[in-house]
Amino acid sequence: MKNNLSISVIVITFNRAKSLQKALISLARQERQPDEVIVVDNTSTDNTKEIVLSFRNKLNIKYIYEKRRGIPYARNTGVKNATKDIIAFTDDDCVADRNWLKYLEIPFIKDPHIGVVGGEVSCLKVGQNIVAEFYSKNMPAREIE
Amino acid sequence: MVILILTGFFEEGYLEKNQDSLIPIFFSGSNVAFRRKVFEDVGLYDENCMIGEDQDICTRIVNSAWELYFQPKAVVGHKSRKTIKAFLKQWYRYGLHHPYIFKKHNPKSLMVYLKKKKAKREILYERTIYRKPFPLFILIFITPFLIMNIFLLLSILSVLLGFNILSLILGLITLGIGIYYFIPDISIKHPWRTVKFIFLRYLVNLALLVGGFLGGAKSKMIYIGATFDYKKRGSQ
Repeated sequence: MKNNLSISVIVITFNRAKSLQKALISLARQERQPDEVIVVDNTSTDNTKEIVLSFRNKLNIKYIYEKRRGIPYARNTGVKNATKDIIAFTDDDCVADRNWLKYLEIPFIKDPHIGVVGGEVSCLKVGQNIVAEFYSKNMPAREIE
Repeated sequence: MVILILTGFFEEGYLEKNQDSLIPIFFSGSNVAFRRKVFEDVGLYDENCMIGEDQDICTRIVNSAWELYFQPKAVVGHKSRKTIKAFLKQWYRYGLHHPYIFKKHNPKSLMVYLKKKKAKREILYERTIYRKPFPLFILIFITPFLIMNIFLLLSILSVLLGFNILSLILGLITLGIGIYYFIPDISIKHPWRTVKFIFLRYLVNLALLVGGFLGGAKSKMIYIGATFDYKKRGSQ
């Protein structure tokens, strides 16, 4: 049994620099640090690149530009550029809990037959608008550390 | 099933691989990890799947030798859309892209599904009515939302045709289904919020249904999709 897996985290993004920054901060705060973070910029026109590069001292981060616009193109480009044993995904409108990667890795270490591990997507309440209220009333919500 | 994109109905453990569902349960693309070898075995993401690429790849993995494991302790917070317009667009787009995935993973048939009152683990829809080979690809989810709208249309139609008593009866049935359907949104303490939630639930489901129907037409199938009816953990 292998217990020293390495992990690439892929985040694909399109014109959400501010929100991406929060996602990357949550990756930099991981209890179990990612061995590599790949941001696939899917034709953003904002300061996405600048934000990504600002994390160079905190994360082993790679900025990749994918000009074909669309989620699957960006995800595939991420996979092709990932170099580690495990390839994890989170999104640019998400914030990962401090223990996210730590828990995501455990099943892979325990059982070599496990090919995919999925975690819980919890509702993050932002602002005081009706959509956020409706969303948080109808979706599972958990404390995010 | 298809609607359970962002939910956590189930407990930690291996996913059942022999589910009798159209599209097996899947992990959201915003919180998932793969062993690199999985991509070598099942291939990369389907580049025709502009939305639902996460569903598609999980379906292929379910059909492979690899196991899928749900780890609820690994939590990612997902932000909601900020405006009603963005929220509706998001769900319209889900609807638009779902039919392609259903068609890809199922043989040509006529399928009618009914929403179960109580979900067994994570499966909300199960083949309960009909599933037979058919020259056209037809997939219909019968939901309270769909029935409510059919009665609504019928009552409007009978008003227009001058059948007043019939329209009254149909209108009352619509109202009854409506109350049943919108119960999660009704709060006597917050009447204004109740109105807004009902409005939003109606619109988001309409967006999903219309998106699904148009997406189905694009994939040369008749598709009446399932609707957005999440319930919080524990409130099942």
